[in-house]
Amino acid sequence: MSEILLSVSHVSKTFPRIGRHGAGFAALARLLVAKPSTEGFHALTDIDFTVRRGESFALVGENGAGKSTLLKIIAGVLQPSSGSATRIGTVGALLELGAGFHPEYTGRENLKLSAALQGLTGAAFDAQLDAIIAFADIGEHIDAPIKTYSSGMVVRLGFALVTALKPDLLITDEVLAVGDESFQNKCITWMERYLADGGTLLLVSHSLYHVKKLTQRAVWLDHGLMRMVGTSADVSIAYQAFHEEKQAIEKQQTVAKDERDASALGQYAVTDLRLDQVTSTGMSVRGRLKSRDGRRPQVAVGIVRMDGTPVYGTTSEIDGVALHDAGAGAFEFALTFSEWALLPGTYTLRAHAMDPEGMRVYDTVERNFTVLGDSREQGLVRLPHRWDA
Amino acid sequence: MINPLLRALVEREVKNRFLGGALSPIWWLAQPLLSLGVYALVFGLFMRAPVPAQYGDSYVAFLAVGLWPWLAFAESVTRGATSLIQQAALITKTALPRAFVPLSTVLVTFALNWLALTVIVALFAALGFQVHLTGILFSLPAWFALFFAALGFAWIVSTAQILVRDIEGMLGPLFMLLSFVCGVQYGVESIPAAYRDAVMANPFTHLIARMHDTYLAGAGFALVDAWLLAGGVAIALIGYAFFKRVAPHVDDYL
Repeated sequence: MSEILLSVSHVSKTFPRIGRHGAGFAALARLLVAKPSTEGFHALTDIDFTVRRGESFALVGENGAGKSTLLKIIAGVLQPSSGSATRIGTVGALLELGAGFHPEYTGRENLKLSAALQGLTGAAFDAQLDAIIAFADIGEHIDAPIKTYSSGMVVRLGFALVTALKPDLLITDEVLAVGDESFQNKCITWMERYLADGGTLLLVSHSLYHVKKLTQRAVWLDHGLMRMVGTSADVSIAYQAFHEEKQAIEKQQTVAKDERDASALGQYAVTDLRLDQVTSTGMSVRGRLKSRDGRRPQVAVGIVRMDGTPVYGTTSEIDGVALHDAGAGAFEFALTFSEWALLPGTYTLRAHAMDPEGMRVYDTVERNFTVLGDSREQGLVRLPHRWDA
Repeated sequence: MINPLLRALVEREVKNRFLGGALSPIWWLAQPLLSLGVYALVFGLFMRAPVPAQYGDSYVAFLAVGLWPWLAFAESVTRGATSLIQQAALITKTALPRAFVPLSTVLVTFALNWLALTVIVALFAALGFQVHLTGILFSLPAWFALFFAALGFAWIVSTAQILVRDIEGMLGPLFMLLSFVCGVQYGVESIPAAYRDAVMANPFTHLIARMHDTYLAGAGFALVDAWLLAGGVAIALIGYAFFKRVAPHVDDYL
């Protein structure tokens, strides 16, 4: 086993509530007698894990879960209310877009202080400066004040500095979300090489793709609590399932709403739509349509990616299927997708109520669903393929 | 070897003073000169404050020698009070040793004011005023005592200010009062005897007196320098202890 680079031991953090008029003498007195208040907002509770040299580690969780607070404590910026975070070796932290950069100073001046903060000074800094500026690719802007930079340039400069530092432990918070694609790729390429060279990474990301690609282990934070710690693949699946469950609850609420509104709909309407048994290989769909004139409507069913990219669509009319007449103007259908090759991700199923001729769409109802899995393949579907030697 | 981080902060602090307004490059000298002019007008010309006999006959020289060290102290503490708040973006997002922030403010303020007075004293000497250039050396213990005291207070108010935002506003009137009772604008002899004991109990009175003694009366080192230095260092240590307690928690209130 390699040495422990970072040891987070029972870390808790409580932010005191602050009124409009500041904290006051009472809070100051409390700090002086060293009794930090236990009342307030519990941002983190009893976080405990270790990171070994050469390991790459991810923090996942929703907004407000405490990820950034935890990173600040690990980076030594913020003091925990209890517990401790112990680091060994050099730490490079990219906590926020342009953190520690002063807008009035030039890129060069800001780099100097930021580098000094991370232990790179004097001749060693001068020797690296050209490489930093080259990596950031900001040319002569290096001598312009940071306030004239675009957000992408600020991130590039921050990341470029880290590449020069080559810290034992690299901490990054969502920085990959900013910057254009080519720079993101450059960063990821650099991180992969850094990891291959034995670097240790602690990454916060909302992108489970990055989590799975760059890290081996992950912690899932939920409302300041450690909900799960394990391999990145396991944590990603559990985290994705959690979101699916959350969406299912929201879905039920919209179903209720849809049913309530059904009377107000047009000639043909979708009054019920349920997805069952979503797996990596298929799904069952059941739905109910309402027909005002009693004629048998057609239904169109389509699957789109979250961004609206169509994956597949068909109708009862194309397939030559008649909807089951349930009486009182209600018509039902049941549809099973089997052995589909959808790649893991979140999709939307759309059901459209159409007239009996299959010509016009009268109503549309959507349901989101998630296909689980830890594949890193790209695109929408897995195409059957083989590699020839 | 000076800590590179502290050096970077000091460089920034110096740049801050000289960036911005059109007058910035001379403001560090112009501001005390303006104060000198105002006090010289009010106390020297209108109220005819007497210069104590041992300090020669120039009111302007008497005033200048006490004023610059006093302004160095008052300005350091006042600027120090807001130093952490001004650098909030830096200290809440990087692992910067926080004590360096007020320290760099006080260092730069003292350096600039010391330099200004040194230039002024040299100028006075060239113009034939009764000043002693040896004072530039012999006043150093008093300068350092004042520096340490300012540093201690700056550490305290910089953190306290974050929790109690009214502190900075109280410093102005407080320092104005203090300056009137430590012999900057007039000799302590001008203060009624009934209050003189209280004034003499103020350590700043003795610090300013040491400035007058060394620059104007040609005095050398004295035992009182040791006491003043010890007092200054004690304040700095108390200030540092205060800072150590409070500074790690200020993120919660910034």
